[in-house]
Amino acid sequence: MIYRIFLLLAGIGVTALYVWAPGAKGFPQEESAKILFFHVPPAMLCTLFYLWGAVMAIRYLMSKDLRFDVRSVAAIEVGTLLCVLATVTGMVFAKVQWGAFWEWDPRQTSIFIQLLIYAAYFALRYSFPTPVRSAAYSSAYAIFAALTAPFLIFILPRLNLWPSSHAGANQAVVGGGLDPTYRTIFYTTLVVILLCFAWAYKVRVREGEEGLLKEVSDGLATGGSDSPDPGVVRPVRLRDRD
Amino acid sequence: MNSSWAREVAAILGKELRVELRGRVGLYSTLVFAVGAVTALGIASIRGEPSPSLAAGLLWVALLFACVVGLARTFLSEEEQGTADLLRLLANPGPVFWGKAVFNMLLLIAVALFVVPLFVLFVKVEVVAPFLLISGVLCGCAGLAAVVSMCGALASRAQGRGLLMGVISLPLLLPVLAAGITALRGAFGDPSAESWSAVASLGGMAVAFSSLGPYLYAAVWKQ
Repeated sequence: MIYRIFLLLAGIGVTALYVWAPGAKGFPQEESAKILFFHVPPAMLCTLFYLWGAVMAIRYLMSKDLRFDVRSVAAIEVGTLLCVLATVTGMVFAKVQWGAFWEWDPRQTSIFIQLLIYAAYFALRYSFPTPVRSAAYSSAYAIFAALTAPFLIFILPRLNLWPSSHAGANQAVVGGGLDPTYRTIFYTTLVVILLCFAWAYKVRVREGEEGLLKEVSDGLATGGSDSPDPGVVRPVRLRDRD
Repeated sequence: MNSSWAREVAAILGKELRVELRGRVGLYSTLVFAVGAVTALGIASIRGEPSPSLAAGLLWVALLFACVVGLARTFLSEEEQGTADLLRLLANPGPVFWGKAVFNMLLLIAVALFVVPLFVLFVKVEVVAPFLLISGVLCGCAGLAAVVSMCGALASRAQGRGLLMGVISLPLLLPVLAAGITALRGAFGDPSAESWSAVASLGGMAVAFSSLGPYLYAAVWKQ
């Protein structure tokens, strides 16, 4: 309860800071460029959640404890939500600043590819009949997918595949070009968004673990790798012959 | 790398080659698909030569669909024919993955050897850097084969595995394709492309994906 009140107050605080912040110098539309407070943090945090999902997937494959699989899928779900948020806010940002919703900017493209890769994760996850097999195969995919992140984030944008509109913005955010007021608001927003989505992750993990307990008590989660779903077996009453 | 490991890889590779030579299903289906795609691209470019960037993209699209159609078979057919359990009893997962991945690489390179000259002939694109073209295609084929092999291994025991194979492999292949397109742009005459950096990153992807593949395959091997 205290955590929720804290998040509410932090959300109000960040909104006030957004309104109070001056326009961003160096952008064609200075006032509307303030959307970067809500665009860049989700883009950074989605990768963080995806990597956390891969770490939990490794722990699942090493321990075969389904609770780690729940954490892995929860992190990937939250990461995907952040990725959608970053893509949509990025499109709005691009339309306002550069006049088009989509122009194949390397950063825009790489985050969209990341979104597709993790959309495929869910397709794979729901294609197995048993929870154990589903957990194992989707964990392997999550680790494999995480391996593409360094290529998408660090290598492909530097290959001069397409002209980048992000160069100035990247320099401002990553290269330390933000003025002190902006830097303070940016990192405050980053922390608040992280806390909000960490809370969402925690709720999802709790819900997943409760579901796991229910499945175990119903006998759906089977230990044997190739056992078919047994379904729910209920006691039946046999009629007397006479 | 010890000798028994290498022997197991060679045995799996030999088995795949023998199966392919008996049936030639993989080679024919991949080749027919790629040649069909290149023919369609040639017809599309009758009225004008495509730009280096577009030509590079078109060539990779032809190879991409051919490899998704043809290469996944190595893992999927084991499950379909019921031989996967026997393989699990007799072999170790690492060599099985490597044997099949190397076979896929060889198959794709064989297809590329035929398709790339045909593409140059049909689409009438000028090759200004042949060595760059060869290096880019080889490294790209290695990257494509590594990813498709891993995806084949992951989709092999799923419901609707044929459809799922395309769904999970296409997004994972996009980073390889993006680097591959940059590599071939330079080969087709675009001086602004950082093609050798792209070839290096294609090589890096091929090494990274094929190194991780056996460990992940081992983790799901007996699930």
